[in-house]
Parts: sequence; C-alpha cells; structure tokens
Amino acid sequence: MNKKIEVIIITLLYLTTLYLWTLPIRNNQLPYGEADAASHYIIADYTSISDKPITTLPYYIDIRYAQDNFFKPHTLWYPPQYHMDLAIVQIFGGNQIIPFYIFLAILSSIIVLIVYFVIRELYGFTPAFLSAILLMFSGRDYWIYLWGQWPERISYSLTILILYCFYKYTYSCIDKSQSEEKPIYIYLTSLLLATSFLLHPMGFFHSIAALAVFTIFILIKERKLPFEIKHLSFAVIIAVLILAMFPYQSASVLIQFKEGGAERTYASISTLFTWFKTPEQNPGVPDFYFSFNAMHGLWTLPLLLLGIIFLVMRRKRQDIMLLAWLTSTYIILHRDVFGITSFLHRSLSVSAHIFAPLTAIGLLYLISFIKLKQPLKSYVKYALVAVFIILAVSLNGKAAYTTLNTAYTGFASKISMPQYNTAVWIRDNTDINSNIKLVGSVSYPQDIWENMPKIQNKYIWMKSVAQRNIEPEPEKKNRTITHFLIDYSDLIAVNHQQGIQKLQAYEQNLTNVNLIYNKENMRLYKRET
Amino acid sequence: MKLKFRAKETAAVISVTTLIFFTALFGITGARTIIAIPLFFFLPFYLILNNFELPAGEKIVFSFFIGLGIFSSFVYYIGILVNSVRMAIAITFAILIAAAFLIKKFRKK
Repeated sequence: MNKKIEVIIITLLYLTTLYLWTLPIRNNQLPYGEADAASHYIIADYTSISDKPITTLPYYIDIRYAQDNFFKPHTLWYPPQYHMDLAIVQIFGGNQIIPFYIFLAILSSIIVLIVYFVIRELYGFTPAFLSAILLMFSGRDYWIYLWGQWPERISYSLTILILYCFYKYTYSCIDKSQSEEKPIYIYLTSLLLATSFLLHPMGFFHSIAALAVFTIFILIKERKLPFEIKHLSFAVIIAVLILAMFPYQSASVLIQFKEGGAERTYASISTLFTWFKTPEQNPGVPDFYFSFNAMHGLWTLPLLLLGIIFLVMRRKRQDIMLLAWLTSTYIILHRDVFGITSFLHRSLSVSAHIFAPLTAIGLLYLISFIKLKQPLKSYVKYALVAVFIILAVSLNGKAAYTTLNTAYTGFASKISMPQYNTAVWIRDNTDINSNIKLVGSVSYPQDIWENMPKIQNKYIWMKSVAQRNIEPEPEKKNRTITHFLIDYSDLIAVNHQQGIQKLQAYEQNLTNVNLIYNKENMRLYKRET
Repeated sequence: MKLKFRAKETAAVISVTTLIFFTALFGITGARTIIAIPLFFFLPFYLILNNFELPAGEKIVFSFFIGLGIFSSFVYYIGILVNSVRMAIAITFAILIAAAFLIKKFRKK
C-alpha cells in the first residue's frame, strides 16, 4: 500500500481514538479523576496560573505532599517535565481544563501511534494497524487514564520506542561489514530513556529491564557484543547529565527504590506459572482490572498464544526484540518473587502494549498456515482481518465506548459547576495559606470507577481548583480554620431535606464569621481574627 | 483513477484535518491546544534531528518524545531564572530553533 495512504489511514484511526478518549471531558467540561489525578492537576494548574515553576511546594500542596520527596521534603516529588508540559499547553490553550485534558488524552493514548510506528517498521502495515486498533480500545490503558496515574502511561509507552532505537543500533554494530555503525541510535536510546525517567521512573525501570533482556538475547543469538563501549559510555553520560539536572527528584527516586526493598515480602514460586496473580488484598483497583477477559477480550487469547509460538519458532531479529520485551515484562510482573512488591499491579498495565502486537502477529501467522493458491489466499486473509476488526470494534470497542462515555457522570463523582465557580473565586480572592473547612458536599462515591474505598473526589478537586487547603476536618489535623465553606448545592440537587436542615443548623451556629461569598447555594464565611 | 500523494501534501492534509477535528470538538481552545503541542514539543526537535541521517518517520516520532522531556526541562530552569513560565516558553523556543540552525550550519562546514 502507498505509504502516504497508510499515514492518512493511521491519522484517521488516531483521531477516532481521540474522539473516544476525550468523551469524558466533552460530556462534562469539569476536571475529573481520583486522588492521584488531582495531585497531577494541581502542579500543572499552579504553574500555569502563577506563571512560576514550582521549586518549594505552596502551602496547600505541601500539607499533603511535603514528605513525598524522600531526598528533599517540601519540594516537587516528581521531576517537573510532565506537569510543565501540561502547564505549557494550558497557557497556550488559554484555558485551565480543556487543553489539559486534550493533551492528557493524547499522552495517555499515544501508545496507539508508537506501537503502530514500531510494528509498521518491523512487520509491515497490517499487523501494525491491527495492533493500533486493539490498543485504542485497551482497558488497561483507558481505565488508568480515567483514574489518574497519568505520567506513568506515557513513560510506559516509551519502552517499545527505546527498545526499537537500541535494536537499530545493535544491528548496525553487528552488521558492521554491510553498513556503517549508527551511534545516533544509542544516543537516541539514551535521550528517550532519560525522558522516560523524567516523565515517570516506573517506565524507565521497565525500559532498562527490556534493554537488559534484549542484550542477553542478542548475545546468545549473535555471539557478539552488540555495542561499542565508547558509544555506550557516551550514551550513559548523556542520560546521567540529563538526570543530574533534577537532583532532588532523581535522588528521591533512588532512595525510594532502595527503601522499597527494605521490608520484603516474598510471593510464592507458584505465581511464576501465572501471568499475574490477582492480589489477595485489593491494592486500590477493581477486580476486573486483573481479568484478561475484561481487559483484552478472551477472543484475543488464542491469537496471542499463536503470536508467541510463531516468534519463538521463527526468531528473526525483530522477533527477538518483541520476545525480549515480553520476557522482561514477565520478569517485572514477577518481581514480588524477589520481594519487590511496590507498584506491582501498576506494571500490569503494560501487558496490553506487548499483547496487542503479538495478537496481531498471531492472526497473520494463522493466515500463513492456510494452504491456498492466490488470489484465494488473499481473499481469506482480508476476510480474517475483517473478522478481527469486527471483533475488536464490537467487543473491545463497545466496552471502551460505554466506559468512556459514562465515566464520571455519577452525581458525586466530580465537582459540579457551582463548586467549580466557588473554587475559582476562592483562588482569586483568598490568601494562599488559608485553611477552609468544607461542609455539605456529598462525598465518598462508590461508582464503578471510583470503587476504591472512600475517595473524596469533591473536596480534593475543589482544593485543586481553588489552590487552597480545603478539607472536611482541618481541625482534626490541628490546622487553624480561616474559612467555612457551606455547600448546599449537592443536597439541594438531590432534594435531601434532612441534610439541608442539618446544614442550616450548622451554619446558624457559626460565630465570629463574615459571609464573603454567596452564590449558587455555596456560602463562604471568613473567620474573624 | 489512481490517487497520487506527495509528502508535503499529505502533511498538509493531516494538519488541516487534525485542526478542523479539534476545532469542531473543542472550539478555539481545541485549535490553540493542537497548534501548541507540535509547535513546542515537536518542531524545534524535528529541526534539530533533521540535521542527522534518519528516516523521515523516525525523525517525526523521536522529535516529539524527546521534546516532551527536553522542552519542559529548559522551560523549568529558564522559568526560575526569569521568574516567568510564559517568558521561558518563548526563550526556550528561540534557543532551540537557533540551536537547530546552528547545528545545520556547523554540519554543512
């Protein structure tokens, strides 16, 4: 197929992906996500509103995240890149919410394009296109995008690209006699590795594991050192220099990594015979996240297994790369056997990234088995590809559409317009060190994507938008209350008369306070000092 | 009839389609956002990588992802120096574009 037509097809596919993935923000243009999501929003939002990069944490962020930087408390606990990227888009987009969520949808779903690109280069258009279709409906990606572990999505997505750069470099070294070495690829590997670390360290560790396994596999297959020491040394220097630019955050990650192994609990060896054992204690995500059927669709399993068998049997260079990625993912998902358990379930999300191309390759392997003459074989190929696409769209696609289209539509799942407007007013009219007691907002939702216990979406998001410390019980944490925010809006919306009366009684009992805001059933009192 | 596409025409078709798509979904905010993303995170790094012998597809892909990590790194530190993120974005953009042309000049020599 004409390469330019291919580009147009994949562009249309990706725009469809973005149409799907932006459904939550198009259905309701208010910020969404659970607690982790809010923690990312506040950094970008503060940066773009204040027009200053964060060095020391502002009060309302500090009271929650002061100790999250293990090396230098009260500073950013993540390297600033991901949130600065979002802040830049907020500034240029001229809006705090829409540009943020558009870019977020792009960063979280860009794996569709990355896998397409790499598989197109290594295996051709059809498997690349089919992989991209599977990934646009990948539950392991869109659920986490909805929840809010955002920086790790893009960091994980870089693994296949990093591996691809290294693949290009190593084979340019091995094939030295045929073509010249291409050290630029190892420098690109290094740059992308550093970027992966700066966006989220988890992806960096995944990529390192993939590179290590790939190197071992090449050593076994080719019996040659697949790199030049001088190239490797220079690449390492590039990466170290970039990481050294953010010493507080890089050192914090190293400390966390070291301390993560301090209290080790070892998983049973029997877990090695599963791809991932569902944890006995809920790590904060619903059970369906651990289900292959719910996340990938059971219909993909035979093709996935066929794809793996095909690669193991064929073992061409590109097959070795994918097998190394699969093996390294397996090792990472079983690190609990060595006592390393932190963020284990989060690593599971990368399964989709490697399973999708293997499944697509499995289909093509199946087609290669069919002994028919041309053009009959081509017709069968197109028919099977069509069946694959129909299954992906009707099963995986339907689930993705339903989830994304109904995400955060529950009454208590995100802040309402009155709450948002009040939060913006508070941001513009109160002192940044305020402690605001929030009373009346409905909290503790138990919807399907918020079925982690006791997520307080309302106050966390009001706090994030207001850029002030808003919480239900600041007095319990010995914080001097400066304001009372009485929120009738939720109770009136659900016509909860008993709740409204209780709230009125609470409001009447407030003493030494002045009403400074009274709109849309939201009242803010300032405490006299 | 056989359709013929040239690289520049293809890029133009894709850019216009994407711009119309985001404008239709999100209005002027969507258009501004979708202009900002390639402008800051892709263009400067594409111009830099364009000085090296890489296939066009690789240059496009690598530029964007390197841009995600490097553009914001510059903005962060320059922002601290000049005390404004907005100014830092403009300065970073200018520095990186200048770097691309300097590399081009240097490599020609």
